[in-house]
Amino acid sequence: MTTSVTVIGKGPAGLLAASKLSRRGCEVNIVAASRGTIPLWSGTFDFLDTRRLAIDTPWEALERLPIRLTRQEWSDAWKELLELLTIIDIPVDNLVPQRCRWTITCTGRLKTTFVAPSWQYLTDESEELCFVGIEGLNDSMPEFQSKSYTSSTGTPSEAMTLPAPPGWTKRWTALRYAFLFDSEIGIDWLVDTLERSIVAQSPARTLLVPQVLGFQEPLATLDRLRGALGRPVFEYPLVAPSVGGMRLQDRWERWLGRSGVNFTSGTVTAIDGSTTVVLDDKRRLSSDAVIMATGGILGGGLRVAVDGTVLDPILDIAVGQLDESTSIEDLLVMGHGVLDPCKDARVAVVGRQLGLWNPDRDGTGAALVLASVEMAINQLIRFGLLSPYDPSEEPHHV
Amino acid sequence: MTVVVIGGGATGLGVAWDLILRNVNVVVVERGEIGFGTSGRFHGLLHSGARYAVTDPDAAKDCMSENTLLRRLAPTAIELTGGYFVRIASNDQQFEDAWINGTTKAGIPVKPVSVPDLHREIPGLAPEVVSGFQVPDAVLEGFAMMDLLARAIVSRGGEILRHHRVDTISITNDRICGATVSGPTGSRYIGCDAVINAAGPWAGEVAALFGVAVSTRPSHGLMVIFANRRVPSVINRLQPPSDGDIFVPHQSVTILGTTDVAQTSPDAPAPTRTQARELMALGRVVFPDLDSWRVLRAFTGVRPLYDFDGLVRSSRDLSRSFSVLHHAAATGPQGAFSVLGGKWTTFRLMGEKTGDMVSDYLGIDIPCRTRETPIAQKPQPKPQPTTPDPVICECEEVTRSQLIDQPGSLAQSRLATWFSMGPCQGTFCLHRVLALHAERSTNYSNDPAPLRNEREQGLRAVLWGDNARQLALQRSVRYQGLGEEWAEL
Repeated sequence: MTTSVTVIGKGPAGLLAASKLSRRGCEVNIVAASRGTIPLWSGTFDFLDTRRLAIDTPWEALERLPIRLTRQEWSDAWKELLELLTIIDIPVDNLVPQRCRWTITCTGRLKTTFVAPSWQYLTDESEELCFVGIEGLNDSMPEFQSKSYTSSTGTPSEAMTLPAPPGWTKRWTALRYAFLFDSEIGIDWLVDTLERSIVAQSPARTLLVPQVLGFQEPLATLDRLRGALGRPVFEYPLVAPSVGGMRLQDRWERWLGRSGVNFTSGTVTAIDGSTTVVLDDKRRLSSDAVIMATGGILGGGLRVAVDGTVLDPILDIAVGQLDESTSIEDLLVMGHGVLDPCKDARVAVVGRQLGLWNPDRDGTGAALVLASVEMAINQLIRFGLLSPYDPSEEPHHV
Repeated sequence: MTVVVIGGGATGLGVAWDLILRNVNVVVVERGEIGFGTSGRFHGLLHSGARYAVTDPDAAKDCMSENTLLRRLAPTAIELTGGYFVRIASNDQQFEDAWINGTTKAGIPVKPVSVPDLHREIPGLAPEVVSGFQVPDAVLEGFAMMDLLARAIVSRGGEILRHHRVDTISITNDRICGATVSGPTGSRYIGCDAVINAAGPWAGEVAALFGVAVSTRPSHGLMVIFANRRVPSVINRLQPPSDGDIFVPHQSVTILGTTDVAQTSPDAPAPTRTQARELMALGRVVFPDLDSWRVLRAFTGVRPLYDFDGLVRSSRDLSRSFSVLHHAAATGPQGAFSVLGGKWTTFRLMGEKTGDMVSDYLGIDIPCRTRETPIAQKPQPKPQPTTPDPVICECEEVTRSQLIDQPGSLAQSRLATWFSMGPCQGTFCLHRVLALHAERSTNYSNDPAPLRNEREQGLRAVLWGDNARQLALQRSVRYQGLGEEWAEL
């Protein structure tokens, strides 16, 4: 008999849980009301911030995380994530890295991260860079980026602004640029304009361009730029909409669809009789287990009432109370704190909805997702709904 | 003749405007930005006076006549929304009768509106409303008005020193003869014939420079801003002036005011959750579905109240009227004036009365001209930008060229363009604006923290519904998206 699981939410935790369950032979239905917060995420994965903690590798400080997995379990979880990303056409180094690396923000700040899709700039130490912006593209601010980068690292850098592409209007978002650079005309314009702008330039510095090099084939476009310009070229992420996260979500959902995962669009209002999911239009979806990846306060899975009650509206459980003395930080990491808040092993809570730690402060976003999904799967195994994972038996490897 | 005016809020600018039209040289000294004190922290109501019809008939009369004048003098800073007073069943009929009587005496036109018409005009109004009246309330765009005043003053040769403080006042033979001010570029002595203290809640501190004591009775009010224009007109509750009984539509938002809490400090305190919830509870009496309105932020403003008689009950019983003192009449030096109390709606009248008294002292026989001189100027047609002009702040639709046109600090730029004031509270635009400024400035800064903190301060008292989610998003964008330095909130 096939185990059926309903996953609520399609942020990183929901997509990862659905993927793992699907690989383990479950029949998975993802119910989500919207795209969630992925379009606000560049698609990088953070573990423990080794630079902030002054340690060499995250493995040295695993006990600082509230979810205790063994080093082997952590390593396996990361390995499976990287495998998955490769399968869904998000190329990453197919080895679990040993330490955090630097990526760069559109404001010229170095930020640590553990894994990033290979279109994005990652480095182990600061190097001389040339930041490229495009006129009219919000969040590409190369002058500021370069000033900020050089003043914080002491490493020289320069800025270059390309003119707005033909046809530009003030309604163009980053996504519109990405669609332009999906087309041959757009790529030709970019290569041509960059080649002409770069003539005046002295040293052949690594070129960083905004993360808008197409929605479909950014790596091919990067290769073409590298060939034409004779130097390394990478993207730096913008804020919103973040094309990197959207590329990832798009590829991930298409792969899940090909693997037989069903997507239902709708807002869940309750879970009835332990595992029947009820939608606001009265649809009822039954399955053997439910995984809630509804995202905490950020994702909309927790609501704060005017009187300060912090409520999970689906489970109708209050997880906290905001009073005059409650710190904002405590509020923003509120969650259930336990994997099975219904005291029913068939309902598990993952990601930010679980709470436990603050990814914004600690740089531990992916760790929270990986560990909580891992524990949810283990819970289903203990409950007899799943058997332990054996990659050789994987049914859906497309 | 030169006069130094201390305080660049509505009062100080009103006084400066009056004096400059009497050919006096004026220097306004403001320690922050224009309107950073009380004038920038109010609900935006241009009173018809109806609110004070029973409790303060003088203020009611003043409001009505000033309201009528300002509509003509500065139409671009006033929106003619009209207003309603609605009575809830639990508020008594007797007050309504006294109120009608009072408005008639003050010359405020009041028109009864039937209950079905009220519900048609004001969606979401409580079913407990038993009667209602239309009054000539309006909405005063405070920053727009102060901007008009400041430009008008400067165009007539007046000087406005922002980010300056008066350090000492020079007195010779018991007469004021000068003031030493300091600012970002250093210290400077201004020879002058009079100094006017228009410092609002800080009037006590400024009076100390004259060597006199002034007893202010500051109280603060908390207001809550909602993200949409939920009411078509100003909505007042028909009852003795009280907490949480005014809703003002202000451009694309609605402001619910206010609380009234006595304090000793002249500075506006941080908004508290307790007060915000109390205000919500009162507002819900008029609009039962208030909790579902998308809240934006809360802010507090300090009323510059002054105890005229030495008789204080609660601060709401203090007159909203004002008083101009020439300290020479008591123990102070000649040429030292203080303008105390007052309200936004009557800033022009305060300017006039102060101008009369100062002119008298200085021997100037030019009468007040502010009654007939328009403050409004024709808007200059802006040249179309030739380079791409993206929208930098999407909530308020502020473009790059609008931001670049603004010289000065980020705070000035915010008040002039309204960037970061919409539902996202700067989540997506603050770093962009910071970059624009940093690119053009020699004082390069890449630290967004001061701006962020100011915005987050206003969010923290009203963290419910989508606003809590907004703050979570802001934190994520700051620390994960933009790699900002972690700072506990």
